[in-house]
Amino acid sequence: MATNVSRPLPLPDIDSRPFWQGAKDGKLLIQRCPSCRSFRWPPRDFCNVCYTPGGDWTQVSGQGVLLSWTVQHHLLHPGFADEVPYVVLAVALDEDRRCQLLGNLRRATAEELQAGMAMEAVFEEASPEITLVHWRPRRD
Amino acid sequence: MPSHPLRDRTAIVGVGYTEFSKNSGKTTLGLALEACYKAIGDAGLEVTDIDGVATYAVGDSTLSYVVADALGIEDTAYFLDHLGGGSASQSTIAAAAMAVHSGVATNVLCYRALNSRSGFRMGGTGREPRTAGDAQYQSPYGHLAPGQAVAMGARMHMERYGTTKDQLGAVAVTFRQHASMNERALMRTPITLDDYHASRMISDPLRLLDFCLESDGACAFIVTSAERARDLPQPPVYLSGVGYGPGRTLYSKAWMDPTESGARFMAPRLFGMAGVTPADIDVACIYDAFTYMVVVQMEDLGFCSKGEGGPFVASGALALGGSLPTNPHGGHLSEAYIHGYNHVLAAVEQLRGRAGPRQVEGAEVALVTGAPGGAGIALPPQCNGLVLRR
Repeated sequence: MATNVSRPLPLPDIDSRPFWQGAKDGKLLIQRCPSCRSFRWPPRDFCNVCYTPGGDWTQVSGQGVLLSWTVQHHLLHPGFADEVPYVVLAVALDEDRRCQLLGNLRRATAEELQAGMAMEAVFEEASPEITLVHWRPRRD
Repeated sequence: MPSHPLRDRTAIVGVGYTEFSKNSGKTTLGLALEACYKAIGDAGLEVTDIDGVATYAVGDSTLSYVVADALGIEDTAYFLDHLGGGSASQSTIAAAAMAVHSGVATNVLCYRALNSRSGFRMGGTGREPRTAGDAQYQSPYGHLAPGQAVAMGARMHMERYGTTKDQLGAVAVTFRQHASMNERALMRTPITLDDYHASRMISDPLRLLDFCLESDGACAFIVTSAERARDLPQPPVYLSGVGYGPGRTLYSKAWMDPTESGARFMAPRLFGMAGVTPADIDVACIYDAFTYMVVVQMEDLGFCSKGEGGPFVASGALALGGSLPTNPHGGHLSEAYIHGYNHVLAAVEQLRGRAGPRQVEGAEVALVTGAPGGAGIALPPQCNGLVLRR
């Protein structure tokens, strides 16, 4: 069933604007502490490992491992009427497993998923302003 | 070890509650007033005796000063409007205990009033999803309801420890059995494991019967000092321990593991303050927004070892007559969802010895918990709990 109701889109803020601009450019940008070099997700003004202000936006590989997932059957928002059942998953980045991003599954079905499997980012335009980061199993 | 200064120094002396329903036909203010007046009356107090008002909400209820005004309270020495649902519930009573024991207030009224079925539903209807702050990394992917977060935690627990859907189902079946003896409960028809497995898939691996109800209603309590409590008409229910704990979120510095909850940090403090061990708990009212939350809390509160929560909840231990009678009122899964406060009500009722057919014989010590803290992917991390004794 087609729907005219749009999905919720992120409301970028001062902290997150570089991340969303990166996604629009097809790059996964993550902050890195200028002092201890820890990767940090999501965007924050201070490093919570060494407490240093600031973060260097760094392009990462877009590769990670699947932590867990759920298949959403019940419709929670009319914007997803064409999608149910859809998969929401959590991926831990290879650069630092503490950087864990949510996304939807692309180019695979839930039946193929296994915890710990290698995943890679897929960039998908959601509006003229916003590109979302989704995930697909890595096929080397 | 010296006794904790807060142990048994305050007590719940009054309870009030409205009908629990799917459509109250009232505002949250109306619900709050009914529960609050009943609690004040139950405590044998007058409105003029109340000098503290505490509540919690997720933008879905009436603020404490509005309720205080409407009740006719003219001076509040203490007030609290805590942001949160299950992550805040029992902590408001803990705050009242601290306010009373410190002398900031004398008699504190705590309430939770919500139309979580007919109004704003946690399950995603009633208002537009948030897309600012951390929600900007979640909502656009259709990650919109707590059940999805918990489903991901449950899946990890199943993969790591072999927890089964039958074991999750056992929680739902047990609590429904308890609710069948509770005239307040919204869901009183007993269910079987087959009914559980036949229920609609919502957020795989969680089915409809893994989810709590969404309901309308209010509960209110009066907290006062142990000394004053002894002069009041109801048998005092002493606050032996109050506990808070952190959880991990998806965005914590430490590795977030949804097979563990903040309850494991809280439990030693909570039981230590109360001077009890898990073996001393006669009846438990465990926050059960989802069946999996009971599994993970049983482990993290120390009722069984890590990874054994599934077999433990399916062993019969949680049933009336089991080794740890749990949610004798039916819990959020089957009585109603008053965000942790109906669990306090159930515990007080047990310790007053007035739980009727679902009374745990000789119940002296009760544990009540709020949300487990974490235990899912992208959930509020805080947890909270109380140890109560008669």
